Amino acid sequence: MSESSQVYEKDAILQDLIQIIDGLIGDWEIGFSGKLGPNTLLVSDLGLESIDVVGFIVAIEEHYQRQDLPFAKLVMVDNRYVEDMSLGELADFLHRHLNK
Amino acid sequence: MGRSLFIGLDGATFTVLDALMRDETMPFLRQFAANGTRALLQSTPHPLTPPAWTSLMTGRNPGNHGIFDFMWPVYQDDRVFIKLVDSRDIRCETIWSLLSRQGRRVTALNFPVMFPARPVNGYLVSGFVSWRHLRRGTYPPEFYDTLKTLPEVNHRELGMDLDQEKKSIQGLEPEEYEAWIELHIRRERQWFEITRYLMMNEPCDLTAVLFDGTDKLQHVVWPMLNPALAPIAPSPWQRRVRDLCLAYFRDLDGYLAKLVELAGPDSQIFMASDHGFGTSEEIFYVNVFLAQHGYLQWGSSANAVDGTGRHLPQRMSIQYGLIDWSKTLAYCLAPSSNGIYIRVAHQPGQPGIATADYERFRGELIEKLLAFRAPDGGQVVTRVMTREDAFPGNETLRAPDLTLVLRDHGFVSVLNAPTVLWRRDQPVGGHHPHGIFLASGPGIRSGFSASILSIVDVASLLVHSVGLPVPSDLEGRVPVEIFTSDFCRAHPVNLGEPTQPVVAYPVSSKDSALPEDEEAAVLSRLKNLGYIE
Repeated sequence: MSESSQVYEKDAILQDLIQIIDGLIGDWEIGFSGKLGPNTLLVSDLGLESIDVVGFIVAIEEHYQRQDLPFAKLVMVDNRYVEDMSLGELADFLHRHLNK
Repeated sequence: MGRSLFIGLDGATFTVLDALMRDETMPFLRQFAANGTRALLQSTPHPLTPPAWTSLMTGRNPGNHGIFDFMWPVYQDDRVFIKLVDSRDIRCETIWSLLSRQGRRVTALNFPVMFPARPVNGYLVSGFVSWRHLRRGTYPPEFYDTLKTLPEVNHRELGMDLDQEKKSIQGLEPEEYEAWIELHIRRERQWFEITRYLMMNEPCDLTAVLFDGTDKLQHVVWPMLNPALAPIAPSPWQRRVRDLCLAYFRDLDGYLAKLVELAGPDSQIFMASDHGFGTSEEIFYVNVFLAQHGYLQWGSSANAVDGTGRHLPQRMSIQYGLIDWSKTLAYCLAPSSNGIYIRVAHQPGQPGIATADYERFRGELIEKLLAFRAPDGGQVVTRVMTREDAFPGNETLRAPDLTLVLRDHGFVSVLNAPTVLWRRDQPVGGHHPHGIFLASGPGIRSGFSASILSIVDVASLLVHSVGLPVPSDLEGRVPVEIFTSDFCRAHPVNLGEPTQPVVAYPVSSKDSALPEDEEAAVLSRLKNLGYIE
């Protein structure tokens, strides 16, 4: 687990995310055969539903031991709920906020 | 003392169980009750699954454990994010943790608000979690692989299917009833199989399992389960549905018998529900009431009147755009908490009442709610609880400002409607504050009916049952009247050190004012996340 004073590199965050999502979808039998990477889309590629996004966020919060990450800013843009996001976008978001 | 077994029966009520014991659908439970002690169990001030089970698991009221509803808003800078409550939101130690750190082994299966799973000295599988996330709701995680291999266990059916749950609450089509009941027949068998496996292979000092189909069936088929509402001349469809319900309860009775047998004659056995069930015959449209009194202004979707004609028991419904947030001072966000939130303007220009006016405003609102009368002249809102009265503790400010008790103990509706009060075409089942408590085993009085107990007593009782001192900060008591005098002499209740504080991650401020327009965004997110219709 990471400490709060730690500096988080974007590549390391992406690897964390890949590891977390791989652990989640491994049980889902969704038949995803591609390679997880920054361009992997949560909804289109991995078939996450809204409740799965919630579960993914909980897993991320658990990993970094934080519950104060402003995910609202990620999932709401111009007061509209985003329809999809990539692991790279998520890594960018975490890189900005974990290092604040 | 020997081992202890706790069996939770979600929403179980003696109204139904007594009838099923009498007609021999549940012969084991009849014998169990006759040989032991029974009592009504007073639920939390608002009898709802997440706060009530959390009170049972912590021995604390919601004002201390911090769980008031299925969801809660997290305030982040100028934004709000709605999330389902989870185990990290419980601000008090659970008995699973308490026993584990004192060297007792614990199994806890299918209890809500346990996701993500916290380490225990034993096994924990969270309830009310989508199967896709059940591994992370399981401790140790590897046990998820084991349970998938158990006979008759379909891991995809163990978890909560949000779409199915919503459907059951919003109302099933007649042709969907049988499949719904059959699903719960299968689910209970699976939780039974997991419990049996662990009791046989990994026996623990305390084994606890929750069967939740009781609540699910009662929500959907209450008129066919409550003897007072049973149709005199049932249709063939009603007979089929009723027969399936009886099959469910017969199976459940068999599981109770087998689990008690597995626990062995030296074990104390406890059963309890988080709340009871009663008959709801009307719908109180709380936001319509608030609008009529000028506290709430309907918004651009004001035409979204609840005109479906179904008038369902607890529609988890508020629609984005339904309310004009710039002109609204008080509102009910979701019916599950029966709560009214009062908007307080923390800065000039924000919508809401001035901080200094809060007490007067709230008092006026309470008076008007209590004064509301039905066309029959009856008082509809029988009690209005302020958050500090209903939920005293460190987490009081998370609670709604007001919590309503209706004369039929029903849930409010948050939708727009032509009238404040609507009489349902057909009565439905709703939560009631009186759940059940049953106990049997060594040292427990036989054939005894105790006075009503509190749901927070159960934690103290279970801790005492496994031979540990009862933490001094638990809010309940060990109901010693259920024990024989010999047992009480041999096993006096010892008070011990308080529970340990829960280590929380950094969270955003919960005291922030809800910024203008953000409440609307909250509703939008809820809708998009699928939590509400």
